[in-house]
Amino acid sequence: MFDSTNNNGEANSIPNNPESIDLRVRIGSISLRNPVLLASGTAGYAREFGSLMNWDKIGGIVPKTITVLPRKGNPPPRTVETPCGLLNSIGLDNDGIDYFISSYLPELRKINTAIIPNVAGKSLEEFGELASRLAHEPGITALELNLSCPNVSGGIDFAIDPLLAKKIVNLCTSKCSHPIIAKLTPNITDLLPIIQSVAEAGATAVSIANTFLGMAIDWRKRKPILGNQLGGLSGPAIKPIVLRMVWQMSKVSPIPIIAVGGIGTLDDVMEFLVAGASAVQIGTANFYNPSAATKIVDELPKAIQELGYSSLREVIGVGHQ
Amino acid sequence: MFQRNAKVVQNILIAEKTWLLELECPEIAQKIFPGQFVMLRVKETFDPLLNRAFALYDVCHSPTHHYFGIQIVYVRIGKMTNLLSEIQPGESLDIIGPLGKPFLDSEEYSKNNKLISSDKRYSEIATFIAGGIGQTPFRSWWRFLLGEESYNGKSISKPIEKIYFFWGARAVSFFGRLEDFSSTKIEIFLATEDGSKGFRGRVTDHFFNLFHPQIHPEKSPGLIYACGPEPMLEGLGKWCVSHNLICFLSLESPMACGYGVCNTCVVKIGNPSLWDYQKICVDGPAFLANDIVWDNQSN
Ligand SMILES: Cc1cc2nc3c(=O)[nH]c(=O)nc-3n(C[C@H](O)[C@H](O)[C@H](O)COP(=O)(O)OP(=O)(O)OC[C@H]3O[C@@H](n4cnc5c(N)ncnc54)[C@H](O)[C@@H]3O)c2cc1C
Ligand SMILES: Cc1cc2nc3c(=O)[nH]c(=O)nc-3n(C[C@H](O)[C@H](O)[C@H](O)COP(=O)(O)O)c2cc1C
Ligand code: FES
Repeated sequence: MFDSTNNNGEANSIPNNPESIDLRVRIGSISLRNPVLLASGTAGYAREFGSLMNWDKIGGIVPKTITVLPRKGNPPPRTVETPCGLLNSIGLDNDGIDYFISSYLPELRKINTAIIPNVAGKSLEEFGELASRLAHEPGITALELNLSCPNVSGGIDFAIDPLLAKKIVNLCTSKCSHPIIAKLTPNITDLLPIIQSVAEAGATAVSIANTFLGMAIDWRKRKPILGNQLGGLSGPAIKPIVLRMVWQMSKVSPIPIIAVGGIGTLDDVMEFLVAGASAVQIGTANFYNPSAATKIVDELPKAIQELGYSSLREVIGVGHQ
Repeated sequence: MFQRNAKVVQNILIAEKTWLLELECPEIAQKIFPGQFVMLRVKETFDPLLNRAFALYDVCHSPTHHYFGIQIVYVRIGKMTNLLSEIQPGESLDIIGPLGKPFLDSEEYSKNNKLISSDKRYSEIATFIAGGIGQTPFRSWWRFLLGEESYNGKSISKPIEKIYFFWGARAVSFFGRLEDFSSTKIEIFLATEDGSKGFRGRVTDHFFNLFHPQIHPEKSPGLIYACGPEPMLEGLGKWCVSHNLICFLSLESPMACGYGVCNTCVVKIGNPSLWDYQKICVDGPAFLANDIVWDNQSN
């Protein structure tokens, strides 16, 4: 079996066996053993997987978004399946930063993969507070800012306002030395102004993207299905749109892009790498196939070899050459 | 918890729109306990996208392998079950399990609830109330309670004496495999909406009539376990609470993952003024009726 941690493949000669393919990626100052991460809100706090996940294999986990105070989340029904997709309105159900630090983080540190906590504030100050609380916690590879949760009613979507997004990232980088990843919303016409402003503020990378606002209606009951009426669409249905965004943005973005949206197979990952993503996150696919991420990691070397490369880095953005 | 590819051993029609599916999955069969469930996925399809939950119907043995597989019983109602009903022996399905918490018998339940440990009715009698396809978790559960089968290496220390099994369906044609519930210690009460068999009307009304504590004070249902559509469970749960009967309700909910990562399947647990959401897939699917806060009681 391929062991990505024990990798000494050099990038200059084309290897003839997949085991020597180098899967490591660098995203600014973030080093990962491979580019396959688990997306926030689709992997809990790792403990839920029990024996369903081989943590030694995957690149990292972004645990579910943490807020300053615990949140109960939205009333059920919280998800509804749509053709090739999933609408959710979980509403950032989480136990708050205190509990995250005292309970979840110590457990997360025990697994052998990169830990990238994800936080969301209701205000600039809350983002600052969350960043300072995590600033000195060991065992954290980077911090992802959820600027874009469509589910928090009354909350502002910080990722549609370049100035506000910039202020948040500025504050977080000043409070916390962990690399900062800004997770953006796709519910916006042009992503570039936001990417530029978070890059100027010192973000190491952007994650593109969170879910697409959508809804489902039960016409017989004459009302929306989700308890929160509106939700965010994820899954294979959104992949072509996110792929287009990553393709367009990777040509112009000053910082690396982590792709999230409908990724669940080797082909998906290769497509996003070719389009210019430096890493990927697996979201909804974890639900129906918890071994999707590890399977992809197992399959990556052969696909890279098929393209005639010896390292994964060579695939990133090759579509633009 | 295992994620496996399970070979279909048989997939047969047993009643109107109802199939029994047998899967070869020894690791899950050895570990699963009544009350728990599995998630199933048909091939590499994106529509339906998500896995669906199915209660353990029973474990099965082969001449060569003890605990070589499990059975589930499903009703054809939508995307996934349409696909399931077409699947042939020899094909395979993705399966994740065992999931959820096992049912509690009176001995397990009394560990945290001293009130009932001295009351013999609870260790001697149980009542099952099933609506629609809600009979599925009770096949293995009766076999455990009566000492006929052990699950996850456990067998009951003192088999119970009597089970009342209430089952309601739209019509007689929906009762599949009634013989799977036949035992000298099980008394079966059927109800149909169209009156084609047994009591005409709701199965819960049938139960209320026969076990109303004021009308039949001499009759005890023991511990009650129910599974069925939510309105049925809500009505039954409230009735049991108001009559001081101990009742476990096996809840259903949309489930995106089934193993606790997505936070979809929540139910309010506590009391109307102090409750928290718990996950049906991890903390349930069965909950004590007393602990469930029905939505129209709060907010
Ligand atoms: C813990 C648990 C255990 C379960 N055990 C069983 C079991 O043993 N046998 C079994 O047949 N099913 C069981 N289910 C239900 C099962 O998971 C699926 O929801 C059901 O089979 C329908 O899936 P589908 O894809 O065929 O229908 P879909 O295409 O998802 O749904 C079709 C239509 O039916 C409605 N619908 C879906 N499920 C139900 C329902 N349960 N009652 C009323 N309307 C519904 C939907 O809203 C939709 O309108 C269980 C569910 C849970 C949560
Ligand atoms: C049920 C569910 C819960 C989610 N919760 C969060 C969350 O808490 N924080 C976050 O940043 N993204 C959250 N997301 C968004 C995912 O991380 C991801 O951006 C999105 O689902 C698109 O990827 P996918 O199509 O692979 O799922 C959630 C998605 C789903 C489906
Ligand atoms: S179904 Fe995902 S948490 Fe219960």
